[in-house]
Amino acid sequence: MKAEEVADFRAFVESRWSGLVRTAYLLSGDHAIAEDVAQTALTKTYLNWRRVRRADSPDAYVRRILVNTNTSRFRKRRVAEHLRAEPPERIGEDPYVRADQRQMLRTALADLPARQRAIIVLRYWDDLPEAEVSRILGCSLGAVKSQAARGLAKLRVHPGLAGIRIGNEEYADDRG
Amino acid sequence: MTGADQERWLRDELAARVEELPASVAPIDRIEQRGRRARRRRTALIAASVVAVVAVSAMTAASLSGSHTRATGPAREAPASSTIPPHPETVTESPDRNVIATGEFGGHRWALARAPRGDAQAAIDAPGCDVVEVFLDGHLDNRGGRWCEPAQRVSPESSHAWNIASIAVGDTALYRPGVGSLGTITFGQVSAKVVAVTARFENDKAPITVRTVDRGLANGTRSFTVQVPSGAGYSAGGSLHFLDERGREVEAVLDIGLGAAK
Repeated sequence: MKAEEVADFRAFVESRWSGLVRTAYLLSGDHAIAEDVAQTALTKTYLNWRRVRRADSPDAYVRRILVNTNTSRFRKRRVAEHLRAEPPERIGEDPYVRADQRQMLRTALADLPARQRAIIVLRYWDDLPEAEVSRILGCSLGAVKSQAARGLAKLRVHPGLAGIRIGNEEYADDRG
Repeated sequence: MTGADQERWLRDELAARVEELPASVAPIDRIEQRGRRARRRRTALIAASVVAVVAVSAMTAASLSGSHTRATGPAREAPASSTIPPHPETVTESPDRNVIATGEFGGHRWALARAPRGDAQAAIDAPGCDVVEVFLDGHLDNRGGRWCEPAQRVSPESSHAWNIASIAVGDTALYRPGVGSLGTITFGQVSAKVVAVTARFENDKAPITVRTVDRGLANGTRSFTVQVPSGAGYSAGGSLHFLDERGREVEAVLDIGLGAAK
């Protein structure tokens, strides 16, 4: 690569690293794995940087690699990663409730199929439009909409999230 | 709760989750280093694959034209027999053949050997490297890939020199006119500290782990071969993971061609 391309790549890594690690963290549920996945995705991006930097959206490219890398990792270690929550206890009103909720959310996200989880994370954490998510994942717009709806529905009825209070409402109030 | 409320709640919760993460500095140098290394491996593998494809094509063409002699070029030192020799070992144990590895694949004996120096070596124009010949049932089946002297290499995880021969990893197809494609062999030469190699595939197939073998190679390095059969559902892409005696991964080669996908 030319010096200018290398400089571009380094600037790209520096500016995107934090966001990619966070996305990978929500996909994988583990900080160390997230950094590893982000590194692998950026290494793959390096290999095709000349083409990627000319593309309309290098971000879409690297996110696609990130999701695929995590999915590939998940497949290889399916047994180890297939964690189930213990039967949840009723969450009380104490200072640790929020932290518990986040732990429950992590468990609930981990229980979603990989593709559905990716859609939820890209849509609601990266805040990407549905069209962009469909482009990154290489699926139809309809598939993104339906999978996002199914993912939300699963989170709604997930035993770990049932009964979580948001303001004066219970999260699972309208599931019936 | 309405759908909009749910979405808002989910956004807030996801944002709160990632806020817990400690800030980390982008390991730019490490990523760039890995990228450069991967690029070098990819270039080497592409070159090796091209040589293999050319050799197979030449063999196929020779077979179709009714000739049972080998392709032209650096194949002169190979067995001149036009049929499968009755005792294939005589080929692989010939003193002028530097055998790298032998094995059996679906009832067929195979052997990898360095081609004699000379025309074959000149053909790849790489000092310290040999052309690899593939014998199937004692018949020169293929000439593909290069086999180079192991290079000193420092493990990225530490400053300890593992002497892993990163360039001595190649793959070749086991193909023979009349027999068809049996699969591929991925072979390599690694540090004496590497006792096992695991091949992982991009699809759901179970990994293949093989033990390394001491064949009296230079610097005490050991060799390994991974056989991937055709038609068994293995993806073509994957990675190699080198393990020490404690089962720790000391090095890995990612995103390489490993198998026969068909």
